[in-house]
Amino acid sequence: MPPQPVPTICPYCGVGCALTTIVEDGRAVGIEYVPEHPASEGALCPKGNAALEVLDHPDRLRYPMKRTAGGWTRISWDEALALVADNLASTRQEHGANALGFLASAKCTNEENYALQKLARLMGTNNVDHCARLCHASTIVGLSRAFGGAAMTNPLSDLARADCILIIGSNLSENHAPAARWIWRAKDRGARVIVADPRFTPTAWLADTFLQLRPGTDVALLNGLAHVILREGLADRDFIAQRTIGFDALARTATAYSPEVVAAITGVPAERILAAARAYGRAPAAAIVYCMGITQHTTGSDNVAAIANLALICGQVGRPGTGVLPLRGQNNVQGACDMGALAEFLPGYRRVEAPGLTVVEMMYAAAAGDLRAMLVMGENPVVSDPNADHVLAALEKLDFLAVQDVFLTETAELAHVVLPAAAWAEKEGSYTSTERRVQWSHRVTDPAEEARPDLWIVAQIARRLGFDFADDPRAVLREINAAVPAYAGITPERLTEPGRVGGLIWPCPDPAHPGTPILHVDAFDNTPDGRGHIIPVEYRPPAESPGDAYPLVLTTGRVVVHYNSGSMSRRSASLLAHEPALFVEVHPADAQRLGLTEGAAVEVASARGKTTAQARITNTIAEGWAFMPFHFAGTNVLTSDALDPLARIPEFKVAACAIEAVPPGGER
Amino acid sequence: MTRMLYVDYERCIDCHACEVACQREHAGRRNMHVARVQDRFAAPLACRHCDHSPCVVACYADALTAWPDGTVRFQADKCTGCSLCVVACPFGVIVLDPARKAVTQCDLCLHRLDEGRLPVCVLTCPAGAIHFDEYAGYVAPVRRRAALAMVDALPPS
Repeated sequence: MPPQPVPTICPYCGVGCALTTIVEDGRAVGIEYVPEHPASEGALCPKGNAALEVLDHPDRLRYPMKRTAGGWTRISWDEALALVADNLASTRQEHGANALGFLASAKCTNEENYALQKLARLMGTNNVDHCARLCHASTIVGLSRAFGGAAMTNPLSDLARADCILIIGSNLSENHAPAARWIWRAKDRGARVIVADPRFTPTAWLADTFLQLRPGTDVALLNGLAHVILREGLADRDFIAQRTIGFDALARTATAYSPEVVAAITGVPAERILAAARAYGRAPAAAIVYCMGITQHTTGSDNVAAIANLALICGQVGRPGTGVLPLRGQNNVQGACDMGALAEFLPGYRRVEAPGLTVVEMMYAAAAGDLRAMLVMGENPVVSDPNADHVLAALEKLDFLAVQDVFLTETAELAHVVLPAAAWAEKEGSYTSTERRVQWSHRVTDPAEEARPDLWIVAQIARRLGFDFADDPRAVLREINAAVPAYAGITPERLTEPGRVGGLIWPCPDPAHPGTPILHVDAFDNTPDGRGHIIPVEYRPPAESPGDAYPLVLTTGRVVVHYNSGSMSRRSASLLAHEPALFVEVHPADAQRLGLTEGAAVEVASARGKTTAQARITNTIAEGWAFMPFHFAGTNVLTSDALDPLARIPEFKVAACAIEAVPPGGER
Repeated sequence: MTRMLYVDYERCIDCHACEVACQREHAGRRNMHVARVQDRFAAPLACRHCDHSPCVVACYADALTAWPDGTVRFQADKCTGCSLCVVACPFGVIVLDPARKAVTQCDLCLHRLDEGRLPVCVLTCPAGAIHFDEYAGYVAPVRRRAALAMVDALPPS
């Protein structure tokens, strides 16, 4: 048979790029680009170009296995599924339903996440969560309160229509690379771009004004921008009067945040704060883009509120080229949240009465012996969660751990039973991108050996527990159409109709609805009074400050050729070649003081643990700060699990650390 | 007019997508090379298909030859693997491929152009920095942008 094109969605980040996978004789042999795609115009970052490399990787899990005294033993699916079902049932019987924990996955389809959270709820617990807790829980809290909706207000392509774009805490050039093309297009029209980040990243290369703020001082900076906007009469008084409440309290709060005061807190020169505020305040259409530099703080919810405040007082919501755009990290993190794979929400963000344990709380409950058995679908908390040594100890304490994954991840290594999952191109289903764009990814090839789609695995476990679960993704999507009003019109028939590129954007309330690219056009439909809520917030310093023992501020982030815990990208040779090892960026002055040379091995330590890394000396960060990518197992040994009180997201972005040279020869 | 590969260097965000795409399209041989300068700038570099090509002059085996359509083309079966072209290239974009004892250089994805498809680096570039166009088509938007920057610098009217 000649090569066939199969429409698929990239398995990496939340941009939701489409790619055509070419299949020949049952193997995925090539990629073709999709220039008509509305989010990416066919572009793919390096990760998307390497997406086929994980499919027939020698490390793939190919059979169910159980851990025995002699190591891993291959078992049948029947035995594996019975082991999981029996252990979940007996744990519930002996210790109650809340001794069970379920981790869903932002890498899995909507249907798979819907099924897993449904299984958790039917078992009688709300202890179901996933890594959205670690990336955008603050967005869910902050934007739900402000706008009544926890999602991007405008599509990415809308950035091309903005006159000013404020990018804060997002390194989109590396992490959502196709977004850069829309920003360049805005600049072609004369748009001003402001980038606020502790590091001069390749995203800062796009900036007209760069604001290098100290890690964790975002609220001060954002309040400072509001201060200047109000002082100079740049606020949209009509919008404030007609569409918002809470303005007076913000006006009082903002008076204290003069550019001079904010400069002292953030380290950003006052004149740059003025320039940024004027650019945003005067623009006919202005958009704010943010990411985990905003959310992963003990003040994450406040940071998001401060962003929403800025958009509300300037009337920059509900029109083309405006809005607040949280860039979601994973191909289906938006969808997993929409599907209710969160401790406090049912599908469609209906609140549960008694919220369950979140990702980080599950680890504490496991360590305390309250959580006894876990089912993990495609997540790798040992690498992705903060305070990793604690996570490792907690998971080891469980009576029973089952992991469904594509590879034997650091987490799967701790499991009692490992269930081999089909990879992205070996199954079909829908994914919801950061734009709320729901797209169908078709099956390209058969799963590796005995690997099976996560939906099939969850349905089989559920059936053995006495629940009637469908394992056909189309049937599950029909159930979602009925359960989630915003998805009511996103039927499998529409998503899979030939020639549909770019899926449908929710809310899509009926099967004739074209989808809703821009939210909050006439009203904030899901706030109690239909208005945008201005919620004044005060600057609070991060949980941890540098001191004598740990004198540097460590912040973490991503690099363009790796992805999250690295279980896929570190197994892609063409990606790994560019960044093969963990590094720590240090400023030249710190490097000189500490006696570090470029590429030398160093030990990085925090109050929680230590790891080794290669020194990378750069003036893209300021003196006194350090940066490490979190794709390698060492980084989150160091990070803090101090939580935002509302969103319960850990403060990955600020930890006090110390760096020491490791003498040649290694051990000291 | 001949269509060529043009790079809008200001736009490159150092993401390496062109490199990974090129490597995939050419069975592991990479003909695109992104060079980063002082953590402030990066440039994707590939064969410029020079009019007076130092590599063609250096190649005594006629493995690298200048074609009437303006391309410099490579024939692996004539290559001796001597690397003189590697030394001659002022852009450092001819590399020795040890696996087959021959060099490798950007072929403009001629196999794709023949089928009416653009080179992969052009299609994949997230920033829209790489273009395959005629000279006039490429420079028109660049000149417009340069003019816009001048307007921007004027005092407000």
